[in-house]
Amino acid sequence: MDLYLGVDIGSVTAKFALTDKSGELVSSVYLRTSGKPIPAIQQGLRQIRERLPHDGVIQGVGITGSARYLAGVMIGADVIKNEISSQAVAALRYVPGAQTIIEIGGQDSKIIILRRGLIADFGMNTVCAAGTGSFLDHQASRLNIEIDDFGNWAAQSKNPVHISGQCTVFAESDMIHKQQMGRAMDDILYGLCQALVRNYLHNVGSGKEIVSPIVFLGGVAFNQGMARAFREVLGTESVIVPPQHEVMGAIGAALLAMENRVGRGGETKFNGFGISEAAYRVSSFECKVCPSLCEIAQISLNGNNLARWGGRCDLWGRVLTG
Amino acid sequence: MKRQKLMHVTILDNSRSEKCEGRCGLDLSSPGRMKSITELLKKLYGESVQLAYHDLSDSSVEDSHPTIAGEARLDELTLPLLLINGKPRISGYFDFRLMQDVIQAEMEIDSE
Repeated sequence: MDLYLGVDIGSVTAKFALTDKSGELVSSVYLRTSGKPIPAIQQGLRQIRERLPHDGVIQGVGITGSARYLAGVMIGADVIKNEISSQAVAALRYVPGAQTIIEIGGQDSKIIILRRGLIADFGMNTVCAAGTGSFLDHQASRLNIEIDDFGNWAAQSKNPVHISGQCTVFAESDMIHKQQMGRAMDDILYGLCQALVRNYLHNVGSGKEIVSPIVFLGGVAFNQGMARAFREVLGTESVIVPPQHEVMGAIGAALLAMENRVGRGGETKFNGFGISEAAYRVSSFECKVCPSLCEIAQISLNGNNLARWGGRCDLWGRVLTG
Repeated sequence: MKRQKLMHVTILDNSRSEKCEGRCGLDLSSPGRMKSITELLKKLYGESVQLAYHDLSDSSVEDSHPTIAGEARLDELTLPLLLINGKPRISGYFDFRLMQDVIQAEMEIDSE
């Protein structure tokens, strides 16, 4: 059975998808990166190997996400693509005719405008944490609520409170104030969802032509309160959350690997599942190229440097990976 | 070898406007900072990426980017604004990593 592996390594989560030669999803893995991309890649590959059909053979590997160059070197990538292209390819497969993609992940968010099946425009998040999944995680933790329950609470709200959402500091103090005023938890949580949606539309979505069908992707799309808030603020029911929304980048990467294989042929560069057991060594040094003096991490195997990452730019990553 | 198209990265900001106290993003109003970022971009992309900074507190910017400058003044776009070949890509604070993510994505999409 011919299979294609797609991997999306983000700063907060790592996603893995296996598709067959018709592009159907065979299996997927979604796990926390916890700031350690190498163990996350190894753990994800171990889980994918356990789910591999007995006659499954990896014919191509596509990689996306912020740590895509590092993962590409470790896993052996046939295709390395940005998240925008990967998300767009996957979204169009699951929602043909999609016109807008809203994607909110752990530490980033983006908007992709599609017209006639092509990327017409896009925008990316700011450096501010307001409006990303990490902020929702933090608030859930502060309120002693499981992040998985956050959306259920928010979806039940009848009288949402107004929360200031342009800054995480103000949003948190506003929420504390509303708690002290005795407002119901579900109303506070949904008020926060509305604030994040307003913030997203004001920053990431500003100046973009948001037309339905709208596809809502990323880990934050698990939160029913966020989907409800987007529908209400945008005034459309056509905000679609596909069942595989959290691994859509990985699915897209797998589809791009399949497209590459069909178009170019040849052998895959996949290094095999054995790398999930390899003893990688991680060390670091200080980059003196600019005044930022970033600490650069480097990974080596059997004395050979494989990749570098961790600075404020990708200069050192390019030295090794090109 | 395919020749890389020239990419214009333009930053619009207002050096006199109120700033977030977090100071998380790049402030390119400082000539020294602008010089170091320009040099870093050159190391990464050679001459194919050109960086320009325009301060909206200078009224002459209206002539080069009339529509966007107008929208920014009306608070329809959050400053600073990062444009690539005239299209807004980031509206609000960004660091060098985000700037590079956008440049990289733009290059890859352009080559598809």
